[in-house]
This record gives sequence, C-alpha cells and structure tokens, in this order.
Amino acid sequence: MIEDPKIKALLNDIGDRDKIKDYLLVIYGQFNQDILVSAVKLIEKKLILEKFPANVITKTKIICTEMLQNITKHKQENTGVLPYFVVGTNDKTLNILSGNIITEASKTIIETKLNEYIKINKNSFRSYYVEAFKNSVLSSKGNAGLGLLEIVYRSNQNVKFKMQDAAKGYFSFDLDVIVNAQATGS
Amino acid sequence: MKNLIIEPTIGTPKVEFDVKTGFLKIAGICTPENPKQFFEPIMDKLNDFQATGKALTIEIFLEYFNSGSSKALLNLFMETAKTSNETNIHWLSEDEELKDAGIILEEISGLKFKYFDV
Repeated sequence: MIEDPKIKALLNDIGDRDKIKDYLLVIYGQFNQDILVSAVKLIEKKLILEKFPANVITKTKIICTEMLQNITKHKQENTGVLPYFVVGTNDKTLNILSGNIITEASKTIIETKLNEYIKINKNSFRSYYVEAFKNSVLSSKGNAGLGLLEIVYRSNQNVKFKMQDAAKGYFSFDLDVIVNAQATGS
Repeated sequence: MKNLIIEPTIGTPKVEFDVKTGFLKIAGICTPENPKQFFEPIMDKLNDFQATGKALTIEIFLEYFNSGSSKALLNLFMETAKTSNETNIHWLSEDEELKDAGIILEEISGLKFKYFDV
C-alpha cells in the first residue's frame, strides 16, 4: 500500500495519462550515475522475467540510459521539486516516463529538438539520425548532444512531452516514451 | 610499447589492447559519464600503435551504451580509417538492435565490419 501522497499522486497521474497496467520500476527522488546504472540493470532483470524479446530489452536499456542521463545532467536541486522515472507496461507497449525540472534555456533547446525530431517523416528518420550522428561533436564533458535524438530514434518516434511553468525561471519537463513490446530493430 | 588494460566497472566496459598481436577488445556495458575521458587512453594507445604499421583487429562486444560512447567509438573508427594499415573490425552482438548500431558505425566510418551473432 502506497502511503506517500506525492508518490500516490504521481502514479495516479501517470496511470491516467499512459494507461499503465503494471509498474516495473518507479524511482522518485535524487539521481546520480550509480542509480542510473543500477536502475537499468533492474529494468533488464524485470524485462527478462516478463519474457520480453532481446531486442526490445536492449532498445529499452538504451532509451532508459539516455532518459536517466538527461535527468542526472539537468537536475535543479534548488527548486525543491524531485525528479521521477517510471517504467510500466500495458498489453502491447512498454511505457518509459520521466519528469524533472529544467531551466528556461534548456526548455528552449529541448522543445526545439523534440519538435523537430517528431515531425520528421518516418521513412527518412534513419538517414537524418545517421547524418546528425556523423556531424555531432563530443565536448570535453563528453556530451555529443545526441541523447534526445537517440531516444526518438530507438522508440520509432513514439515520444510525447509536456512542459509547464514550475517556479521562477524553471519548467517541469515530462517525457513519455513508448516502446512496442514486439518491436524488431530500430 | 605496453599493453593497455582497463578493468570494467558497473558502467564501463573491459578494455584490452594487446600491442604485440594488435588486438583491441572492448566488452561490457558502456555508459560512462564522460565518454571522451574514458576513451582518451584508448585513442592515445591506438595512435601509438598505428605508427608501427602493424595490422589491427578491433573486437567490440557491448551489452548497451550511451550516445556519447557511440560517438566516441565512431571517433575511434574514424581515426583507424585514416591509416592504410590492415584493419579488421569484429562487431559481436546479441540482437538486431545492437547489430544496427554497428551497421551505422560501419556506414559512417567507411570501414568494413564483420558481424558475429553471440
């Protein structure tokens, strides 16, 4: 029985918006690199137990890694709002959801990129991905700016997002990614 | 020239570069926080090795990886492609999703990969 009202409200909201029947993993609170790797390992074990195909498991692990890295990199501890990360299923899909607080500058970048990726024609998305990957540059911090593109590519563009005013200069960023449970290849 | 060995951690792969046989193997999970930093000693060793003119075999067997590591791997292959030394790339994968990642790296780098289903 879940008693914490914040977690209860979060699960109700997520359950409503994505029609999740079973929750495989829910993390609410602080994130770091160790939690990221452990979470992905746990999801893998859960998906093996639920007998998902190997390529779906790999696809999910890659998407989860990018989403968790986004949360870790963009965390805004001073806002007092904690991030969440949820993996759930309904009959035919795996639903991977995250929410965190971002700055106005990040909002503009993320919004622009996601809107661009989602609009690309499905048939030409692979060549777009290859071109963007080829032209990207790895920064000294190890960022190539490819995280969101990777998520959209691996999910076959099954991505929805929502941004709302959170506090002065900050925005909440909710990302819903759907993976077809029978998917074959990207 | 000394061999390079990097032991695996919870989020980084095992790396073994045997400079005598010219065999570089990267295997495991590859999600370092800073992929550029992680791949730096491998790139350095690769550059030193390339100067010997010996044949090189790179074996990649990754469980999964982040996009930064994927880019770092591409940089490694691009560096390899610059020389006329004999180069063999062995891409080991457990499923189509991972094989696709290899195909994209092959497409961009222009190197010829050999694929192995594990």
